[in-house]
Amino acid sequence: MRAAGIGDYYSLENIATPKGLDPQVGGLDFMPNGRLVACFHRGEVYTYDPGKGEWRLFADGLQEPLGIVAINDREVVVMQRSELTRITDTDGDGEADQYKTVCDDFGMTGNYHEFAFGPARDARGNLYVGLNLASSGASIRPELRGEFRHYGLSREGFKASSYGRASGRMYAATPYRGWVLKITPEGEMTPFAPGFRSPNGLGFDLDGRLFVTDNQGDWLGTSKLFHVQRGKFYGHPASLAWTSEWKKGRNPLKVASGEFDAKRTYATVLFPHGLMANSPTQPIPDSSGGKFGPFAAQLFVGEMNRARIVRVMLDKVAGEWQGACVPFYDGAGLGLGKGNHRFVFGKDGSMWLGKTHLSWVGGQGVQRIKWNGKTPMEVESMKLTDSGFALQFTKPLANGLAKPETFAIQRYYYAYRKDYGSPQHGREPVPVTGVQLLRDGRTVIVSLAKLNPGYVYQLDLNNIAAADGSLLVNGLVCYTLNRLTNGDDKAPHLVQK
Amino acid sequence: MGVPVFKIRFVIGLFVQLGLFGLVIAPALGQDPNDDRVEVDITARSGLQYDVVRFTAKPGQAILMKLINDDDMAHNFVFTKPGQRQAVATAALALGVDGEAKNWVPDHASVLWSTPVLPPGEQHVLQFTAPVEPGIYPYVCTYPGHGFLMYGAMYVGVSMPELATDQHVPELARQGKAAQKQFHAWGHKRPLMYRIFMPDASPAAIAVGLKHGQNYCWDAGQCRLRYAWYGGFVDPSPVWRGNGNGLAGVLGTKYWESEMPGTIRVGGGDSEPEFLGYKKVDGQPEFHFRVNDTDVYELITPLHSIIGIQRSFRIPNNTQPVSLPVGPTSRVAFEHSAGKLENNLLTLSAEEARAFTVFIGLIK
Repeated sequence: MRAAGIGDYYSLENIATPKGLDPQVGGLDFMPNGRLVACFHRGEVYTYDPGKGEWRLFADGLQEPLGIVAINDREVVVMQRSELTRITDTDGDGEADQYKTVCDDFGMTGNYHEFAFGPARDARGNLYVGLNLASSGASIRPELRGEFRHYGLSREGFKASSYGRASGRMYAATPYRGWVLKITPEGEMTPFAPGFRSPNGLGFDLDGRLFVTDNQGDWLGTSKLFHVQRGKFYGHPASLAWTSEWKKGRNPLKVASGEFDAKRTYATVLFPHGLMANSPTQPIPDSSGGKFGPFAAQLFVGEMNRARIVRVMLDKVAGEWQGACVPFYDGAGLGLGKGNHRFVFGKDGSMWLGKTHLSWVGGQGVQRIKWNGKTPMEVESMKLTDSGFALQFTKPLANGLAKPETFAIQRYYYAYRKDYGSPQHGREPVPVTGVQLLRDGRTVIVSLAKLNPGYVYQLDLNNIAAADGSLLVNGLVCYTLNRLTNGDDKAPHLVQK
Repeated sequence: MGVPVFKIRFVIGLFVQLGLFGLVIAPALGQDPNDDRVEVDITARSGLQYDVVRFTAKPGQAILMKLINDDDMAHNFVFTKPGQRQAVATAALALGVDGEAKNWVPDHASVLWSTPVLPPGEQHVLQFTAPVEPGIYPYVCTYPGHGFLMYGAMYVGVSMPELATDQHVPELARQGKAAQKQFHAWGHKRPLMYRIFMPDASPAAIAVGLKHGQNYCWDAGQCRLRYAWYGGFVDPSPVWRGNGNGLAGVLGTKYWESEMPGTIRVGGGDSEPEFLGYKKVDGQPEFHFRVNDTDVYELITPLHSIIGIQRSFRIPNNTQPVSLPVGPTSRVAFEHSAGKLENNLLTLSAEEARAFTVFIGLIK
């Protein structure tokens, strides 16, 4: 038997972009008329007719647009560095002529890292955007937009060469950096949730839940996917300076991390750094209704640093969402490449993706992935049980695999601390005490010797085949165990310093 | 940024050409200077630039020079005697109403050869013999206002210095910035606008390149014009080549920069202006913002006769007095269609302010 590859089940096509365009994609969507609409690094918005293979300029002059939502055949909403903008072709000639500011009620210091992400649109038409923190890789500029306030430095202090020691690795010196904002279609803005570092990916699942990714760094031991709800705090303290209850001048860099730990909401899913994803991007639900394979309604998440798209399997435990991640489309040689940034599903159920790099690791261009109708052997869902996990595969297992040796499991955790990233702590194999195959032939109940909150449980499934002879395609599965089924989520070992 | 490309072709003379085909002509016969003619194509480009800012010739060498006007405005091309570029350009300006009929070429003893004024898209060939006197012979567009930026030099029997130190070419060419690199699928076009990090403005700045090499920076963070320049547009590459940790470069010469903080005031109070976007009018943005609950529109268009811009304001149904900081008004040609100017503050009655215009020109 040869090794299984996702290329046996999906095909990938490169979509040629206009000559002379820097095809780093900031956002992708479809207009109701079936035209793809994409925004690019140098400020252009193009539409694309998939039937004819023709691009057409729709708008230009935007400031690092990193997200787009098509409202109708003549109108899009784009998040650019400086504002959320409604762009309309009022005279119907195919090119936009009106650019209306929907919301620019947030600050900018001119720091390069203050990217602006989104919008994600809810069922009522509200738009959600994510604002990056500034990076101590650079200071602030002489002129700002919005109020200046910093817990450790004056504006003069930011001019000193030593500013980086007092600023914090990532900082919020103007309002709502590090926040997710909610903006009504009329432009009314509500600061929605603080605690983000670099939220380069916002998306709603098919049940209307908002998910946001964040990138490994200070306060993030590894990259994360959050289920975001109003008023909750998602872990990076810099943005707390712009909450009403934060005492002016109080320095989050001098607060014990336990205080923030008590406030924070855990990530739904952790993406182990160097293993699963280093820079996760947009979460997008499989809205194809089965036309894209056996993962309908599950979330896919892009990854910048390797040729991979990740799949997420959510699990509601004691009333809260947590879950597992597994590579979906993985590996060089299949044409995917790095920089997998923005996604949209076409009406035919194919997945369109746009790439970028912005001078970091990544790629460029537009690609399209189609399912060929054959079902790959994959872990379809993973759910926590009282004593371990229930793994459901897409197809019945071959005989004789329901035994402990098939399931190599280890666990580890990432510290919550202000330092950059975290090593894996407490890494240890977890003995499998029992394996039971259910009567459907495709669900395996795995019992474990140790099951505790505050760990990533990593499964390496290397020798699994389906009854039809096909091999498991992706055997690396990482489950983020925040809560046990009895609701216990106490994990004091996570807090460092 | 690309250094200007030299498009000089040396057309090899008859003797040598024949030699290539094996028909040997005794080299002892010597070479007539005409057998080794210099052919040079020089293109006038957007942003008051010649793409070739210098070339060499031997004393007495035959020259065939083609001027190609690839810009959206009219240009000519005048060779002068050494050191006489500015004198000739100034004399052209002095022609005033007679200038058009004379192709803006003055009756000046230092003019050597010249083309007519070429409308956009046209070409003209000049044939002449290089002077026998070695020297640096300038060329310049003497169309009013262009000569400040649009020039170069023919080196006759004199070796060229390093481009970066050559005082006979425009500053932008010395800096290697003369050409606006192509950054988009559509090639070069004007009007063109970028929302991009600009020097001397807030992070929400907008740069606009209008026709006729006119450019301005309008600050969406403060709802006001920050500065205007002529020449190339901007070099966005410090921002775009990386993650944004850079400022776009201004390509050209700033001739006006707001020296007064604050934007237009409608009625009393010091309310913060609120930026609301823009509508494209012939490709040019008409900015829309709100001051003191009043909608204000500003459209900036290029002037045609001189280097400069026209700021057209609309405040529909305005009912309050308006004041607009417009300084500096000295050192530039400044006009306003209505209102009273005092200490660089233009004040207008409610009625006057519903539609008024301010002009800022390079030359008085």
